[in-house]
Amino acid sequence: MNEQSTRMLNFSYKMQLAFSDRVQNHRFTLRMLPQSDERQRITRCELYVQPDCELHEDYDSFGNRYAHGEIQKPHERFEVELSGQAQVSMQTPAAAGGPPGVIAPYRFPSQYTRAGDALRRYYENNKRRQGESSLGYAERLLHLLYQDIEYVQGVTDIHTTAEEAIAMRSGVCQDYAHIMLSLCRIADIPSRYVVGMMSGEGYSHAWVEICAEGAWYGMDPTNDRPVDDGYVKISHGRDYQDCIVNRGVFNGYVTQTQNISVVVQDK
Amino acid sequence: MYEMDLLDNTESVNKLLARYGVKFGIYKNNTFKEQLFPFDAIPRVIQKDEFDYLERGLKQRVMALNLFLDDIYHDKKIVRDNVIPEDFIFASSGYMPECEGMTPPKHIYSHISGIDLVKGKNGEWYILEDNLRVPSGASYPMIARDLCRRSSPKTFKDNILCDNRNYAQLLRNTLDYVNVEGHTVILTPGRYNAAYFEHSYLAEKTGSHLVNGSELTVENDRLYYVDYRGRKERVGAVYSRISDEYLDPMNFNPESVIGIPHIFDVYRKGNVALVNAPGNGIADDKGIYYFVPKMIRYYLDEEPVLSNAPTYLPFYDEDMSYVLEHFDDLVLKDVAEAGGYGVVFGSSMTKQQKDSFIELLKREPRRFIAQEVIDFQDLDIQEGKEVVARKADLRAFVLMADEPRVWKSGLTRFSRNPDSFIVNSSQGGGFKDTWVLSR
Repeated sequence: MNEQSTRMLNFSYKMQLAFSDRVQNHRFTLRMLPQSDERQRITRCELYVQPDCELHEDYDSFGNRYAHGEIQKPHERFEVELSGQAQVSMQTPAAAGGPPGVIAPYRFPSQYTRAGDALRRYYENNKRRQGESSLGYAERLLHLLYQDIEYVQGVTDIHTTAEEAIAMRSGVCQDYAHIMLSLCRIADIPSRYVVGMMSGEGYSHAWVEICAEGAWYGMDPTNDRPVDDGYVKISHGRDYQDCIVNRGVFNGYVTQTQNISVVVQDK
Repeated sequence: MYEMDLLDNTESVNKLLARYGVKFGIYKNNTFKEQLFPFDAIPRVIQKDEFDYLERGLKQRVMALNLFLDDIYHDKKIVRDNVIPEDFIFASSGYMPECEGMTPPKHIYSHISGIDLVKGKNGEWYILEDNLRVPSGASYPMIARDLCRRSSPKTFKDNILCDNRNYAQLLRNTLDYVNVEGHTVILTPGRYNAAYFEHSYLAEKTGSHLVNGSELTVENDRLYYVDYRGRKERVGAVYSRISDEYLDPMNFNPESVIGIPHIFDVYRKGNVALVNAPGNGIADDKGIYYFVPKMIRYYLDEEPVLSNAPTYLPFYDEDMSYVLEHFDDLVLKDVAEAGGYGVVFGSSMTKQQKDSFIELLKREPRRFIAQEVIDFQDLDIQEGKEVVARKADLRAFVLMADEPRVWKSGLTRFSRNPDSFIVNSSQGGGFKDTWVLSR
């Protein structure tokens, strides 16, 4: 990593879950520990969980670092705070190495990205051209999707598939990413879903990485641009489902409200 | 023709089976029903030499399948060396990327394998399919043998056959061999599962705890059994009779209420053995079946002892044209289905059905395999006072510990419908004891 062309970012990711009544035997998995790669170096990273409990860390089969734990005693709130510092480079892609299994699962349809008639039609109208490079086509898709899909909150939810989103021509970052993955995979370009944070204040973000020339290139179809030094990556997988930030089960008959606030700013 | 004392006791054996609750559950039109599994007392008899041959072939096959699973979730040499096309692995629903890079205790993936075979009219045995996830059925011939011996001790004095009541011992050896530390449990989804009788019977015979998901809990990356007083004891091996996707709501289907949250994380750390290993579905996929003989050559550098039924993959152009030309002679199987579902015979389709099926086949060639219809040997069964011939198969069980061992018996299933080739119990078939002669 070239020191001069990097940017130092402070990040914080806060999540609060409020339950309408007390819950117990709460087990959770937090897939939210960013890692260093060729593009970003995590120089500090801390995770706090309230109520206080022991956390166990491991790596999942996609290579993501996660923490899991349990809270036995009754509680009405569950709070998670991740904070740290990242040194991010402008464009360096992450290396794609290892056995074919590291790449192969990202070449085939997954639950959220399986193409139906609408996606196949969209692809037919915007086909990868003869001889067009993977990167070239992916960049063309960035502009196309930005143009053809309207960013609208509330029309889609976490269960919406790429096929459903393209039919509506609208959605949020998760939908842009799923649509792009689906099209790239039809065009025979291995591609994966990425969850992370973007400079500014707001929510977590999702984008894609495509595999070309032995490296993973980040592309953000929601904002029509390649991933630059303002992005901190947290995890990747075949689609949303492999990257769910917080998964939990508990005993209790309750409703819950979730509040997420992400801040990424220059040091 | 049959002068065995045992045959006069068919009724009493069936009554005893009913009394012992030898049933299986079935869902039809959304209601749960328990059915008796009809037992026919005329045994399938396999000569010693013939079984020795089967044993050699079965051990070889299961060794290769275990090596394949280890390879697929690690180096993927068989894909890199172009023996199996990538599509058949990574686009299959049986491949679980969640298991990528994970190594089960002692490197065993398929601890209990149920291999289905048929014997053709030409006397040749053919492998029909491999079952490496939760193969069921061993308990039926176990208890049937036990009850037959009680009803007709004379029969077993007159015939020299291998005792099959050692299945529990074989299973226990396998479970002990991979046990990391602590108790061995059999994990059941509960009494509404089709094979609940088997779960309880095997627990009793192997001296394992029969548990459901709520009786197991994860603490500090270890798995514990919680007894009725709330005491916790470490569990080192779980013989899971739950499908992989329901095993752990934190790692697989989040809606599962029969699983154990975080059990997969314990497994990842190497702190518990899961029997059979999650992810095995890739090896008993109907599309992968075609490649098993190639696997045997690739991993073991041996010629396969036992043959597959002649199989075609429409995925390959050459095979597709063969399938279209010989459509009426073939049976087509949807690779995503099991239990006798998704199986169609070319000859039994109407013109219209055929056209729409061929259209589907051309659109999704990877989804189907086509096989020659094997004219398999009929076995005699009793129907009232008469003896009639019916189609039957054999599920052989191979248990893996320090080496593979083949149980000298097996589940022989038969179709009660004279026109049907489908013997699955979920489709109304019955079963027989399988005698392996000891000399």
